[in-house]
Amino acid sequence: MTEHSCEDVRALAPEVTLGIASGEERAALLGHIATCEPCRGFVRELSTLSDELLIAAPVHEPPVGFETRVLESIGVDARIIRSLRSRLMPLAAAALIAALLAGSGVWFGTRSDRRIGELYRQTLATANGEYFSAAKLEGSGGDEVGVVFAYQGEPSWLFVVLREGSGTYTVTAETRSGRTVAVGDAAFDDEKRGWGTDVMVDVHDITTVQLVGGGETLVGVVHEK
Amino acid sequence: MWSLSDEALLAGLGSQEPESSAAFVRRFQGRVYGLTFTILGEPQAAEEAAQETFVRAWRHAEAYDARRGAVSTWLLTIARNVAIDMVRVRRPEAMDPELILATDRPQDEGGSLEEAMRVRDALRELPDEQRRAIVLAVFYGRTAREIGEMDGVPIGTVKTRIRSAMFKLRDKLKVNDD
Repeated sequence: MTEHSCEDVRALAPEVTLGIASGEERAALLGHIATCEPCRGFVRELSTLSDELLIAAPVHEPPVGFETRVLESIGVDARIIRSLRSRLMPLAAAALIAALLAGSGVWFGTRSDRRIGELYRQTLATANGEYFSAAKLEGSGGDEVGVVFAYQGEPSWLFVVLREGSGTYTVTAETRSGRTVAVGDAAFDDEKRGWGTDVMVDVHDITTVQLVGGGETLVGVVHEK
Repeated sequence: MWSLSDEALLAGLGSQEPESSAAFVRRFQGRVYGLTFTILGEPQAAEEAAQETFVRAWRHAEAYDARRGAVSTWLLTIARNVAIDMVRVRRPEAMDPELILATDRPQDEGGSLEEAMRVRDALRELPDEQRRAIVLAVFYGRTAREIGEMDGVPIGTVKTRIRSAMFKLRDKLKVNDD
């Protein structure tokens, strides 16, 4: 077997670590680094580099429902997660909304912007939140059908209240950069008018929230573009 | 769940813990699908490859070794390999490698945005022929021979371009064997 010098091996290393070298080249390199610590370290560096170059690829959100399909393919029942979220989020959202509404009497009583601002800050500080917003949810005819609440904190979440109607909707959020983010699937009926979930998107970055289902599209404009 | 480390979420994925598994997928789905879509150029194939990536991550979660790199790079390496295997079957000709860097600013929800920008800037600073060769190798798994045939240049020239590009990137990005 031909002995390869360190210089030879360092010349082979880029292609081997990129996974595009021939079997012979790979074998030659591995044979050398088995007994050469400096070259072994050099190859480790290039391996790390080869892997890190992959993060240069653009980020794209997958189609709606991707998360559910992945979880089902690995044997995780996605319904468990939706059930957990549907139970926890209304509690979290209701707690925040109740905290805000609890002060509404004082708000209207004093009609002081400074007082309203102080109550808002105190409420957010309760859970280390940064931001809270609400937007009207409108149907295709411009009629108001509900409200979308958006909260920036740990976690950030969206909560939708649908005042009438029922059905299942696919919920997405559009960001300022034009990216559409899958949020989840929301179900409403006469007994369940609220639905919420945590989101991994900066709430400040959300322009609109859309609910699509039953042949209609409901839109809440959270921030103007 | 939202403050758990990547490693903790991966461990949860490996044991099929529902919340951890969902959080893991949501944390990385944009990067994984972005890479598979970049390589395959077609949404359905990209989703299939991205889904297979998470399946393999679940199967091999216990094999992940933090000493060898971050969870993100481990996962993206899986995605790359899955997508390259598919592109060889479905799409013998590679996409335009310059599209990889065409986006002015990678959209990222996680903390690796700064690192992604560093890598993209370093790639942009390479001479055109070196950048093309390294992108075709990294993202499309093209060998030096294949790149040479595509571009009509000798294989030795391509090997030199790849080598030069990797050494420049190593210096630029200061990759160390710690």
